[in-house]
Parts: sequence; structure tokens; C-alpha cells
Amino acid sequence: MAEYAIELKGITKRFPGVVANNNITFSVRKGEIHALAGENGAGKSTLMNILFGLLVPDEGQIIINGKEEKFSSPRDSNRAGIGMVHQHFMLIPKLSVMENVIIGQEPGTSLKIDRKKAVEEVQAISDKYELNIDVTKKVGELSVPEQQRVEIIKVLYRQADILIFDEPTAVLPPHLIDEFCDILLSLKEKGKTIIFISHKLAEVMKVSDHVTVIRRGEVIGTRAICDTSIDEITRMMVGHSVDTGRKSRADIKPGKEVLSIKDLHYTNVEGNEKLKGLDLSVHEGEIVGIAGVDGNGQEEMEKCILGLFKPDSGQILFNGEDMIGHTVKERRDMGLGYVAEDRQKESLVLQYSVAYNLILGQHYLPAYSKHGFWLKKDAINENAEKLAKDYDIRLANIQVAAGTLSGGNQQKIVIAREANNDPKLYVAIQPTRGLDIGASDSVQDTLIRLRNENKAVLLISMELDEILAVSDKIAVIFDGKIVAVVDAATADKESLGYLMLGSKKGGNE
Amino acid sequence: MTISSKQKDILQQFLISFIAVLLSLIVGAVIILAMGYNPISAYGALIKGSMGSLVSLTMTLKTSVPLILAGLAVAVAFKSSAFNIGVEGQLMFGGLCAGLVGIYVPLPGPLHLAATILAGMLGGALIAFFPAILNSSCNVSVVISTIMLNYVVQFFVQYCVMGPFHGATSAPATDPLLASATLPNILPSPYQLNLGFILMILAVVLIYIYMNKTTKGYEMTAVGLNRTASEFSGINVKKNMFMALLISGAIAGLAGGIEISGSLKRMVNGFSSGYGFSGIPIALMARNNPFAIILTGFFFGMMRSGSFLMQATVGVSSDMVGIIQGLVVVFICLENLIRYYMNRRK
Repeated sequence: MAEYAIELKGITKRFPGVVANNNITFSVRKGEIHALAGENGAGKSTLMNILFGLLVPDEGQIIINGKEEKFSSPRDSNRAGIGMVHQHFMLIPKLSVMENVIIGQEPGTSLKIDRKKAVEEVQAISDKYELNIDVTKKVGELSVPEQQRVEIIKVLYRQADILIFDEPTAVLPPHLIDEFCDILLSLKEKGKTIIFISHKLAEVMKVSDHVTVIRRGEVIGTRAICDTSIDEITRMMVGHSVDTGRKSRADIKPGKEVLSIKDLHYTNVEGNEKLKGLDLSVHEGEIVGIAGVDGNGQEEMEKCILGLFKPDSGQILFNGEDMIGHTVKERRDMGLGYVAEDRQKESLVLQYSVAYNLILGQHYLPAYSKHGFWLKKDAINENAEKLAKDYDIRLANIQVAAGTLSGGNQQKIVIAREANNDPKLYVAIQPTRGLDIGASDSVQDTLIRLRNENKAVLLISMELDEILAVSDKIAVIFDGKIVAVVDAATADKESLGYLMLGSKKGGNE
Repeated sequence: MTISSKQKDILQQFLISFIAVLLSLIVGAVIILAMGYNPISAYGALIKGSMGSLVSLTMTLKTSVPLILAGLAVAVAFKSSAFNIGVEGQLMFGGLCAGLVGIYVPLPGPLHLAATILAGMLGGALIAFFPAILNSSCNVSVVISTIMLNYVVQFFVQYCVMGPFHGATSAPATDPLLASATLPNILPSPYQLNLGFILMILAVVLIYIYMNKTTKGYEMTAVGLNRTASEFSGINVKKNMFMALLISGAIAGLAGGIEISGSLKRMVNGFSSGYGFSGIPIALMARNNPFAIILTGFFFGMMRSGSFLMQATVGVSSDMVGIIQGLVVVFICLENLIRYYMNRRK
């Protein structure tokens, strides 16, 4: 018996203008959990797609259980015992768990599915691996973590011995990540080999036996978890050590008030009052971080500021002028930069080129158009070349569709565009969500830079660490109101946590 | 020189459309065979009838003009994600308006012709205005309202032509347009090609420039590709869909105006015979690219003008081209399947 479940030797894959994988060589032992860590765009997904048979490498060998294999479709890799749990689930909500699992391999005759047998088999898998799924339920009725477990059952049903998990924890809320780690360990205990792609290093440290780090398409090294540390892996991933504490910043005094929200009320279409007299103030040269548990009015506040929601009452003053009643365009013309939460849905036109995306919402300005009518292609391209360089947006050329870039580079487009129009107020919502350490760092540095340039910055994030690292002042939102404003330099996580949950205790202790 | 990924995309899309046409011709051949005719001679007659001589070629070009414009009308609306299924009605009403101005509003010299064509465009835009305003003020689905308005327009036009504006003859038509309101031929007799052909080319070029070189086209396309992101960046989504529908209606009206003022020279009830509906597969096949629409529109024009010879000489009913056109739509919709097999071979 071969010692290794997977051996990759010299895998190289080129795309037009980029080498996604360059001479990748590493091995995964049988029955281990092997983490694959790397920034977004480092080439992890390309490599896994090669292993899964979705892409064919230009060079290199894939050896599975000691035998060289050539995969030209997922069917081939399935046959070799490889299964993949994708980040975006591939499930049909209207069908039951059992039906989702057996698709393509239905038991019974070609005319009739043996449903009884199918339910038994699929339930047996769920029970054996303690996945706790009622397989007769419809997938649409299940929660996200449960749907993920259905994906695992799907792979196990196809008798995979090697399981690839593509960023499995990205979709899970923090308190369920431990549970997921237990599932991985239980799969390992039952003899499965697991490749676990992640850039959340805490989980990598917790469950893996080995970790292989990829940067810019190349293997930087493989380490046994017992011999390494988060610091070392981070350095390997980004190529330099990253300051994870509070960001340093220029010593400037906040200037005049740019944004002033007074007694803002908003009731949504369902009749729920989501903002109950919210007050907020942001000055020049400061970053105000909004800390709070999701759903306490952040979204409503953001959209009232941008102009997509019309508040019931209250004022949103922007340099003294009430923004309410102005259109989104007018507010942006007044100097509002806005990094929306969902970059793919709310910030980018994925089919448009990077150059076109970098002027979205500014396309009518004299810099990019003559008389607001004729597009100035040269100026648009020049702008794109400059921003791509300044913000280190990695791309083959500025004419490629934004949708072809990695998440981190997509976000850099948005960050760059919104900062480019000399904003007076820069609103950033979850700007580093789903980004790796390097990209997060560069996004946060941009926020600090804008602040140092005397802009007013409003940061809304669910990640308290980010709020603490970046903000000057922290405003805690709870139940549609700002319940406390504290100095970020002296704030501590624990008392903020109390405030976010609506307890008055935090202030007194 | 290596080709860019964008060019590769365009090439692949072209190939897919080509394969779809080929497949529909093959399936069409099987049907012709099943009916007991020889598909090769049927297709031969189709080609001979549409391109066999210079006369038939110019005839085909003339037939293609309203088809190409209808395709262009569908494509413009589609770009901003408004599905204008009402091109047929807009085209008919445009024809009616052009006809009435051509008959009853005598103006001096070329002004009359310009007014006639302009009336057609305004008429088409007017019919598109109702679904557009319903959409932007009450969120009424454009698909539904444009489809239904087709019938309203159809019967209203019928009433006008058969009723108050019925001509001196018993034909279901108005009196002829005044000579000053008709589009002159640009080729000597017997070749029939009028100024409408030039207007059509002009419209295609203008729309291409508008969609690709201006901020307005940039906005419309952005709205079509991602409504939410457009809204977040301050683009007025409703206004853009409204404008796209109005432009679409005007192009449809232009098609009707050219048909009445250039070909028929009087307003005839039911003159369109599905030009507007053909616009949908024409735009679909061309993937809304204005220049490609000239090609796909010409292809549909060929089928129309060649089908008469096919019926006369081979005996295959001219309705057969309707079947082939339907098959084209089916195969175009199978785009992903074709793409799948194309990528597999690589």
C-alpha cells in the first residue's frame, strides 16, 4: 500500500497572462487532514479544480494511491475516490436530502428509483458519521450548516476516500465552526483523507496534521502543525509579517463635523421599526467604527445614508446640509464614497471590464466623459492603469472582466474607485469580509490613509477585531440606536461585547 | 499575435449561433424529407429565390430592412434588461402614423418625407411609452404589458384602416401616400431598394455608437447587467429602462414607417405579418450586437423572400420557414449545451 493518498508533482497551469500554478509539488498522507493555506488568488482553487478534474494541468503528474491518474472531468476523479465539498453548495432546494444525494447514482432499476433503499443508505451514512441529518427533509428547509453536511453526505455516498473542502468555514457563523471541526476529525477517525482549504489560521491549527502554504501560484512550504505557529504560517502566506494589533496612524486632531445623524427613525415594509432615534457623528480625520451584532439597524442606517431608504423622521446632515430628499447620485456628487457590503451584487458589474468598473458612478464626470455624453476611453484606461498600480490590483490587463478576478482583487477595485473621487465621507461596510490577510491589510491601510488625509471615515463591520484595529472612535449600535461611543484606543473587547448585547454592565465594570 | 479572451468570446458566440442555424436547417431537412420532398432542392430554391439574381437579392435586402430594425429594437431594450415583446405593435402603430402624415399632412418637399418617417418613430415610441411609464411608476412587468398592448394596437390599427381612414378601393388599406412622402428608390428599376435601407444602416451605426461610446449607453448596459450595483452607484435604473423602451419603440416605429413609406406606399391592415416577433430571435441570434443583427436579420429576410420560390417550384409550403425559424430559437436556447460540447472537445 502506498503511503500517500495524493502526490502532486510539478503541476503547472497557465491562464492568459497569469501562471496560476507554477511547478506545484506536495503530498498528502493517507488518513490525515492536510490544510492548504494561501491568500485569495494564490492559486488554491485552481489547484483543487485540477485535482477534481475540472481543469487539466499544462504540466505535471497527479498520483493517487500510488497510481498516476489523468483526470479530464469530475467523473474521473470520482472514480479515483476524490470528492469535493464546494464553497457554494450545489443542491436543489425543492428536493429532499436523499434525492439530492443520490442524483446521478440512483439505486433501483433504470425506470424506477428504489426510494426505500435510497433513504436507508443515505440515512446510514448520516448516522455513521454523526452528521445528524433527517434525509427525508427538503434541502430548502435546512440551515446553511446542515446543507453543508448534506454536501458531505453526497461525497461520502459516492464512496470518496479523499475529501476536498473548499473554504468550508466561510459560510458558517463563528459559534458553529467548532462543530464543523469535530466533523472533520470524525471523518479522519473513520479513515478518510482530507484536504482542507482555508485562510482562517485558527481552524487550520486546530484540526490539521500538516499545512501546505501557497503564494502567488507556488508552494512556499509544508509544515507539520506541531512544528509551526500562526505567525510562521502568516509570514509564509503573505511574504512578510503582518501587524495584527492596532493600526498605527498619524497624530491628527479631528476636524469639523462631516456627517451628523440626528434622531433617525426608519420603519421597514414589514412594519418593524429598525431605527429608533439613531444619533451619530463623524468628523474629518477620524474613523468611526460601528460595532454591533448583525441586524441591529446597521443595514437600515447604511441605506438611509446612501439614499436607498427614506427615513420616517430625523436628519442626516452632510457638511451641514440635509441629505434626505437627495438622490443617490446627488449624495455621491456631494462627496460620499460608499463601499457596499456585497461587492459582487452591489458594487461591481462583473461582466464589465476592470476599467469600466473603476468609473461606475463617476462615468459622467468631466474626467471620463466629454459633455457628460461621450466616454473618454483613453482617460478611462489611464485611470484604470493608475489605480491598478496604486492599489496593487493583480490582473492580466485592465480590459478583463471584473468577474474573472479573485475576491480580494475585486474588492480592491471597489475600494480604489470609491476613494478616487475625493470623498468627504467614506463609508465602508464589511470591507474585508472574505478577504485573506494580505488583501484585508491593504484595505484597512487605505482606510487609515484616507483618515490621515483628513477625510471622515465610517466603518461598519461585524468583526470586532477589525473595528478595534482600525477605528479612532467606536460607536456601539444596539436595537436601532447608538448606545455608546467610546475611544478605540482604550476600549476593551469584553465591555464592548456587553454593550453590543444591550447590557449596561459594560460601562460600569 | 495572440487573440484576446474577449475576441475569443465573440468568436465562440458566433460559432454557437452558426451551429444553431446549421442544426435547425438539418432538422428542417428531416421534416421536409418526412413530408416527401427533397430538402436539397427545397433549400436550393430558398437560396435561389432570395439570392439567385440581383433582382431577388435586392428584394431580399428590402425585406430584411424591417426585420433588422425590429431586431435592433428588441436588442436595445434587452440591453437594459427590459424585454420588449411589443415591437410588433409599436411597428404597426408607427406604420399607421407614418401613413396618416404621408396622406393628410402635405408639407413642402423633403420636409414631408422627414415628417412622415419621424411620425412613424414617434408613433412607435408612443406605444412603448405606456409600458415604460407603467413599469417605472407602478413596477408593472414590461413583458406582460408589451405583449398585451400588441393586441390593443392590432385592433385599433384595424379599426383605423377599415374605418375612418379606409381608402377608395375595397382593399383593406388607406389611400396611397402622397408622392412627396414616399422613400425614393436608391437603385434604378427593376431593382427595388429604397432609401429605407440607408436609414436602417444609419440606425444600426447610431445605436452601436450610442451603446458603446456614450455615458448613456454605459448606464443602460450597466443597468441590464447588474441593477443593484447600478442603483448603489447612483444610476437611475427606472429612468434608464424607460429610455431604453422609448428608443426601442422609436426604432420599431421607424421600421413600420419605412415599410409603409418605402415598400407599400399606403397603410395596409396587417402589413407587418410578424416582423416584430421575428425581431426577438434575430436579436437573440446576434446576441444583441447591432452589426451582427444585420447578418441575422438578413438571414431571416432570405427565408421570407425565398420561401415563395420554394413553394412554387418544389411544393414545400412557405410556412416551412416559420418552422425553421422556430427551430433556430430552440437551438439558440440550447446555447449552454452547444457550449458544453464545444468545450469538451478541447
